[in-house]
Amino acid sequence: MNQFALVSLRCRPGNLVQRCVRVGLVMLVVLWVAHPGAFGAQQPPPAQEEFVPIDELPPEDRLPAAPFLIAAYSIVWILAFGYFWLVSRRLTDVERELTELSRRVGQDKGKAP
Amino acid sequence: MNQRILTGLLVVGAVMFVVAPVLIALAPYESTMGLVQKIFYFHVPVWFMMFLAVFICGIASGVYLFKEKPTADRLAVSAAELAVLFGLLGLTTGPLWARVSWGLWWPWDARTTLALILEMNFIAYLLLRKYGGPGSEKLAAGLAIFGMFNVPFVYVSVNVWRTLHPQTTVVPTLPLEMGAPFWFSVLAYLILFLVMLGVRRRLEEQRAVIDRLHLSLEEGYSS
Repeated sequence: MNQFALVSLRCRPGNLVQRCVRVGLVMLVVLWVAHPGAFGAQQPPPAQEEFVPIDELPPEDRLPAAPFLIAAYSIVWILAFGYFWLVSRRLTDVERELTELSRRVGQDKGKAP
Repeated sequence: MNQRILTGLLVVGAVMFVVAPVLIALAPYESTMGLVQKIFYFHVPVWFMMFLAVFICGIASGVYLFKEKPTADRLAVSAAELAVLFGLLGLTTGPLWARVSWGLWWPWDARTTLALILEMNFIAYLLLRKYGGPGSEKLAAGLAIFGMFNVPFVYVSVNVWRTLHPQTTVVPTLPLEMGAPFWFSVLAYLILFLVMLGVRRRLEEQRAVIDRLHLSLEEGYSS
């Protein structure tokens, strides 16, 4: 029987909440003693304060990063110019509608007594 | 914006976007991140443009709310759409950089979480404008002002909270060989942004003219 099943069997109604809290605390202490870095590891390392250039990129870093860089740049190009094209198309449609409406308004004014 | 100025800016911007990748490629590699750090040269400018769009939208919304100028409202909705677009670009290029540098796509730190909230704020603005019905312009304007005040928190979050993101000192302390392609890139994006804003605003202006013409036609039929 595993540890969690044993804990749930022991937690009977009555003082169930107190027992579960106690067992939980014991397990946390055990975990902390066994892996002292487990809680500390949740803290991220300090943020970088400046970028330092190097002359040559290490060979192991060349290939894995390239697809990500190319993907990022492609996404920017596709989305930015895709949006620009979309807005230009919408503008063309609106201007066509505007010309048509102006013509109709002009006709109506011509008919007016 | 004048049609001739827009065309001129478009040409200059296109040339700059052709030159920018060459300058970025020639820039030196960063010592801890290597090649993938070059995403920085367009990830950060994209966020600058997002913030600019948010400020334009927020200020124009304030003018619309307090002075009731319809032209300000049309500028605000145009800028809001660009804020969503540039935010989306930032939110997609960032994880690609993070995956290689930090080993995870999304760290849920203060900067990324606040940036996501800002993006959702302006998506909400556009949804409100589209489906909110009559009067939604003023509600959306309030939302835009709220979003604008979120920007300083996004910017300083890396200094205030513990985060994986580099601090705000990185950009001012860039060495010349990294700073030159970066600011060139910022300028290229600024030109692209201005062209987009000009075209998008023209679209709103033309829609307003169409609405007025529709009204005058209906009045003509009813009288």
